[in-house]
Amino acid sequence: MATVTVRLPGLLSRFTEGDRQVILDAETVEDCFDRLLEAVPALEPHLFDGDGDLRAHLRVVHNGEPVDLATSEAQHIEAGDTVTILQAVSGG
Amino acid sequence: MSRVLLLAGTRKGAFVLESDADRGGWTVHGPHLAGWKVADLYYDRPTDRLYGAVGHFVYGSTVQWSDDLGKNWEQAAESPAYPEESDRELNQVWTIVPSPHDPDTLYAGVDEAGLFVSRDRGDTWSAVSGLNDHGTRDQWFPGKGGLCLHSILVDPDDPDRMWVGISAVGVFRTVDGGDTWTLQNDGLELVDQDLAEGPVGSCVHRVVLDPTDPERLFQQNHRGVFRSADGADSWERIDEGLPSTFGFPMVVHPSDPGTLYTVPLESDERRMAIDGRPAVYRSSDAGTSWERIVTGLPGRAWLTVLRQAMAVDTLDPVGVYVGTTGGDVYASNDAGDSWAPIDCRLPRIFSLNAVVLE
Repeated sequence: MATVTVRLPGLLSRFTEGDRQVILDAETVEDCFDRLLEAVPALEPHLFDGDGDLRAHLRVVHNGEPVDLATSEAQHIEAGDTVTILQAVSGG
Repeated sequence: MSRVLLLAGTRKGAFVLESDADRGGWTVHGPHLAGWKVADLYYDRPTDRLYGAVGHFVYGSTVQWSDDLGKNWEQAAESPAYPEESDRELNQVWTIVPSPHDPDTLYAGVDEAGLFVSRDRGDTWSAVSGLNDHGTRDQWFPGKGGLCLHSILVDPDDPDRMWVGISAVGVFRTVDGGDTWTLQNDGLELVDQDLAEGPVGSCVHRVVLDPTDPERLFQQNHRGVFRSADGADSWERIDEGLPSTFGFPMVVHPSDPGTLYTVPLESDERRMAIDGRPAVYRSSDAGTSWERIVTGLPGRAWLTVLRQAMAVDTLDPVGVYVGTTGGDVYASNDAGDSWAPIDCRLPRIFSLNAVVLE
């Protein structure tokens, strides 16, 4: 179990009293999301769609590298890692 | 002294516009939920709670509420949602409507079209499957604004009787508390005349109920303005005297039977004030005749008013309010005789609701 930082998009920080990051203990990237939703259940409908998939316009980045959440089960994380949830942007 | 709250749901948050009973000057509070789409707001008088139909194209849609008029919000434990095995997507909670018979019961209309009910003041929601899985469901198709359930009416005298409006499907009615529903489109035209004749396909834009007579309903439809005198068993056209059959909003005077307001727009293709000259139309005889009102409205403006962006309050004389997609709000404190802009320009306005507090 490693202590990691999860960074949230700005609009979702209203569910964490304004904090853009959540510190939690997890073993894998997928586990990280489980722990995040345990800590902040209100995030679930905003991160995952009705099929339980990560919403289409969100991306997950682990220490700067894109991660496919559907295949991240075994992607271990180390103490001090950062998992970032990015909102897709477009335009200028 | 009364104070009036005008609740504005917009593309980028909720705004609360506040005035005294004269309704001559307004203070603007907000944006609350800044950055989030707020399709509708409902103020629950018994609990002083403000409910929001909140969404975002990235983050989905939920029901939320505020106990301090919008400053802080709490999210429903279980917002309306289609089951995971369903092929339907809940894109937006579109409207939130209370039951006049039970203070714990709220209804929500959503896109993709469906009706949900909460029996615990909005904390958890369940699907009204008698409607959502109606036998005509595979024939439902969207209007330009989506396949949405936007109008929910509950008979004030009979908790088992309700109506809903779905675009572009029609009006449904239940008389058994929501277990079974019948399509009530008799007298309406189909949105597309090339459609095969069938029960669905009438693009109802807004349905309202005369608060003094639950047999009388009115609707602005894609194909005209209609009235029912028999609880939606049948509809008759009442748009003679209007400059256009097209438009979205419609509101009914809360205590003066047969007085209603609408904002006709120019054609399906253009959807803006006719000839760039905005006007509110008022009927005092349940739609048999209409009066054009332009006093105080802009002389030249190609504005658009969406289906829920018109409201009435409950003062005497009644206040009437119109919000535009350009973010302007026009208010009348004399039952619609004259209008004045409220000093603000909001994001695109989806809904207005007026509340009078003592």
